Amino acid sequence: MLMLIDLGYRAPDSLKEALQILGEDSSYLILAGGTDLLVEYFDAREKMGKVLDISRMEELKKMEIGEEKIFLGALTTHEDIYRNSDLQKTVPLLCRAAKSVGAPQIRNQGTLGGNMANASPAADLAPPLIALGARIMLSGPDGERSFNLDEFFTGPGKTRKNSDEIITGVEFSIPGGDFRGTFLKVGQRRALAIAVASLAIALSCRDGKVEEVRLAAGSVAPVPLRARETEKILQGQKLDNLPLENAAGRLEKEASPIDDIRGTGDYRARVLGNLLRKGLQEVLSQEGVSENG
Amino acid sequence: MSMVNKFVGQRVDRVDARDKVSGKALYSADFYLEDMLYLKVLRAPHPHARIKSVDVSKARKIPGVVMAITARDIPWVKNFGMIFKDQEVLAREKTRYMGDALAIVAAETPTIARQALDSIEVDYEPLEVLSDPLQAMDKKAPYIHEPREENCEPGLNPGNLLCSHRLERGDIKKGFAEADKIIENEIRTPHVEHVALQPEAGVAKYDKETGVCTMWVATQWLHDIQADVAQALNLKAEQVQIIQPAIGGAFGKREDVSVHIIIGLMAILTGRPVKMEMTREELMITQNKRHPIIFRYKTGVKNDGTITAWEAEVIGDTGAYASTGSAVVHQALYMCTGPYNVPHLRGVSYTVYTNNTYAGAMRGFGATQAAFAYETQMDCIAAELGMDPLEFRRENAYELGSITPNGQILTTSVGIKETLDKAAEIFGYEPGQRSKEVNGKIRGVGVASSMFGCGYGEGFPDHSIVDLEVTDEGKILVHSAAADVGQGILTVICQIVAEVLDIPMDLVEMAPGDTHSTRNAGSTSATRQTIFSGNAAKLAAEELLGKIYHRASLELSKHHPQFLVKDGEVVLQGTETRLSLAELSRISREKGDPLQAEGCYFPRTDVPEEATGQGRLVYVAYAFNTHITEVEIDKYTGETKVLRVVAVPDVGRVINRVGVEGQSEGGTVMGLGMALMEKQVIENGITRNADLSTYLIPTSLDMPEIITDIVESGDAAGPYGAKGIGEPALLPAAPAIINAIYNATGVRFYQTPVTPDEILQALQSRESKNP
Amino acid sequence: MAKVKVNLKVNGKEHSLEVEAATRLLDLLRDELGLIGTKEGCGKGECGTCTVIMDGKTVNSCLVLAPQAEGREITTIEGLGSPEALHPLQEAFITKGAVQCGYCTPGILLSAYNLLNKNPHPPREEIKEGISGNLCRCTGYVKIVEAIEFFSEGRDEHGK
Repeated sequence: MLMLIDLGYRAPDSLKEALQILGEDSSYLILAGGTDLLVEYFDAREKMGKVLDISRMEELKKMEIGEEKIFLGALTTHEDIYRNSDLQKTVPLLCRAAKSVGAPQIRNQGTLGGNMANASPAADLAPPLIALGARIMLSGPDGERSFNLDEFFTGPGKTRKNSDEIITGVEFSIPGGDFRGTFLKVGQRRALAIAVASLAIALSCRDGKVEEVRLAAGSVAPVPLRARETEKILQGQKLDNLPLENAAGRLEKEASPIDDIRGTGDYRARVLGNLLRKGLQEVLSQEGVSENG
Repeated sequence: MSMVNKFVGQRVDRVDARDKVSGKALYSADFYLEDMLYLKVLRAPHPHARIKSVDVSKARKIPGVVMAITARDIPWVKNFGMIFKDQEVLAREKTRYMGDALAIVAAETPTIARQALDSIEVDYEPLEVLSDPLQAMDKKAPYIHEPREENCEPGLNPGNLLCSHRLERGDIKKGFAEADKIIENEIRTPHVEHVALQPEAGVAKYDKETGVCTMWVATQWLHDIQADVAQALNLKAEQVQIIQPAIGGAFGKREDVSVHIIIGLMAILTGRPVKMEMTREELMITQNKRHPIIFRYKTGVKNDGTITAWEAEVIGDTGAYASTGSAVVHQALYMCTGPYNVPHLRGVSYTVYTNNTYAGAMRGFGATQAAFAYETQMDCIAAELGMDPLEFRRENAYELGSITPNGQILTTSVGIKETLDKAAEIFGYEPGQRSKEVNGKIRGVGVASSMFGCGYGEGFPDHSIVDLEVTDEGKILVHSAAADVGQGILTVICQIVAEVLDIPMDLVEMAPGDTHSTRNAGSTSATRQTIFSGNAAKLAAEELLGKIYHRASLELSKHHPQFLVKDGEVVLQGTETRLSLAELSRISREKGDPLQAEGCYFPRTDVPEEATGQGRLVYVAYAFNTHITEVEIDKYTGETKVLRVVAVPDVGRVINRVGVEGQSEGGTVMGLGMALMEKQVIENGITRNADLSTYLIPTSLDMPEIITDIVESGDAAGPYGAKGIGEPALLPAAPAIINAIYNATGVRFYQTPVTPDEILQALQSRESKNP
Repeated sequence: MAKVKVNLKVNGKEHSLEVEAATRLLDLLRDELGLIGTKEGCGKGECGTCTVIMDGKTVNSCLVLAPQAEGREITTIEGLGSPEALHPLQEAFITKGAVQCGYCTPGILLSAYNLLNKNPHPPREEIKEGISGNLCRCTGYVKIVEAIEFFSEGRDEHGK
């Protein structure tokens, strides 16, 4: 019986090379920041089998902040996002979410791509990105694919990515006009805390009304939740007369949170409604695009 | 009256800090010996099961595995345990909790050892799991252990009741008859985990020639672990040498045997040095926890606020093995009223086995759980009487002449009222203050006080020995087995020696703790080291001082009063004549009378009477503490933030000022964790949160503002009138927070932790009552 | 077991090692290079005890595979100062009583050091955030924060 497992380790420099390796053998585990993979294989690293270390692929590290669109490469770290001044100006809710991840060390290592691929319902970057209408880009042997981020996750830890594909990045349009957004997270302590519940709100306003609204919540469903029904309730409403109670009630029902070691489903639903109340009050007091998150 | 001393009472750098900040301090896992083997242990597959077979044959065949053993291979190895020897090194017939060891593998690398574990096959038959002590106490429940002859409480399960204790003073019926109000509550505390940052680890080697097994491994009591390892392995104590490394925190975690017997055993069996490192998950499941305790309280009080009677039933879940459970749970009983005058009291405590992880010493040792219980009870009574919580406590608090639950009359060092007054003043406490809303958040203020009996007490032969010698370089070399687990005892000892001998502190050196060259210092627990090893150090230093005078007077042929020992030299007053300690040491050695001294502090305490728990002098000292705490609650989420804590401990006398503050701050934050986030969840014997992302302790961002002010009531049994701070620092922290939550929300909680979930529910139900 | 060659710089010194691919940076530092100042607390990146600085960023070395350190510059606690020549930040920790059991100390010193390199005069909240990935059970963090403040206040405008 072969007891010593051969850990095949490859560290390609380019996406092309990486895809080639995956094309030949899609059983490779993809390693970027290591903050999920190495925890999963804690005390059992010899069982990892084959590891494809993509952390050196420069082309996945770029952050392109254009006039209308933003592209964040898959190897962008939480810390990169948090500290980027352009992102802080245009989409502070995303920076706030990145800041709330773990702690400095985890933010330095953990990547956007990893956060998406790991597909935890509690992934902190998912709600703000979904609220910004982001698309996620993948590269595979047959070419490129992309998905609306809110359609990318299929279950806890599951996505539409195939095992021979690599996430290359995430793209979204820079919100214009009177845009307000926020990200709120409830945790059991003030750092190194996995979200018990989280909520991202992205609101575009015109003529004192809600022109467009996107709500995305974390840790309250098997996947990051796009709360479309609640959005409908707020859509087109007057800012000074938002049906808060109605919306909060609907949001609590849209969620399907479970009981787990971090909290009960009951609490998660209740607190989610409150996060909406709190979050909407906060965005209403913002002044628009240039407001701090 | 306080004197200003040169070293004692000052802010002094820790003597071991240099090595720690530079990464040079060596902890248990930092030892690397040549040709070392790595050990891994296979743990139980089920919390309560009959073991039919453990097959290690496949493991033995794996290349790189040097040895794999089960209980069958070591029939000569005996059980171990802190008080009762009820724990097996390798389980023979049954497992009683998930941490029971079934097999040990020694391999060339940790990876191979781990793979070997995967290949071991266990055949077992599950038994009924008892995870609730109330269930386990029932006569009908299956036995976890075989009944011991001497334990029997008729009506209760003899296999699962480890022991019971009683407390009685006065006439409880009379007490309740005198009461205007009787308040009854059930208050509970959960399993709590120490989270000492350094995982259990150890390295051992065996010398066939000398027959001595040497190990580098953390303990809280060198000689006690030495004795347990020796008896388990059928060795003489001299054959077990334990060298004390730097210790990465303890809080009671390292009182019990963890890797010690296993590394000794495997070093002997394999003939090679061995290393064992427990993973965080493994140690959270395997090693001791704080006892979950149920307190059923009934307190009688007059309308004017005088307590007349207090009755308590205390039930502690000691898990699969006894550890120190018999002591912890009855200490909870002995502290059950808190530092308040109670003329008539009665109580009983039960220590009960379950299939949960065994419980043992954890900072407070029963007194922590009791503090939460009695401070909740006191707060309830104050509310019931319409009295301010601080005022109510003050009215009933101990003074000189007060009598403790054990019947001890307090004749010295009772500073509790002073701690209440000082805390109130510093905090700016307003009696009768109500909760207020600030920026959409609700604020509340809570008070809690505590007491703690220092030392083992109860007639236990508690003592500590310190040996000193003057070296030929003129330094004082201190030999002490006292375990410095971070609390700073080594620094305190050096301060005291420096103080008595008037010698700069950098000329006082600590020799490493070693069973073979240091004598018993007792346990680093029970908040006893400052008192016991501190006193021993003072006595030894005074003996040494006398010897210095004696030798100097012989050498210089002068009267004793003409000398002064100052700054590390002997000075003949009024002259230029100096004799350095180095020279004096050399001369003494030549004369065949080396400059050495020893000190032993061995106070007598009384064994409490079995039926009543009463004794004249049960603890050598009592330490007190008061916290006043402000919290802020987010109405939307129930998340609670502790804003500020004013902590005022009565330590008798400060030895190291920075040290006392550091302990107070650390204890406060540990209490914050206990109040708001810490619970080791064990369901049906299975630990659900055995890592640091699911068992949460406070981070730096959770840190409140903490102001520590110290009361020095002086006159206590320790050196210069000192008591201790280690455990007292923690005791009022969680209760004050929970009481502040009551003040903020109007909802009383009777268990910790109080989570955002429960607070949100409490707020919402309060709103629905008062829309 | 697949082996890889790793070339890296640790505390200014170049090293070339052959290790098993599954070796963690933590194990490489401790077992191969004898730098035992970096400690393991949990192995899962949940406590920060194993913090080192890699290419100017703090990371949990238990979550870095050794080959990922190829070509990188690592600073461990030994690179900050020795008992004979401590860095003033280490001195500050001693003076302010920020060291109790000392197990979290190397990791927290490196987190603080890295923070101060980026911002020599951080306000208190930023200090707390900077060390928020390092758990301490003994001190309650108070004197650690005070030590960092003390150090940063003592610096002159040249950041010395």
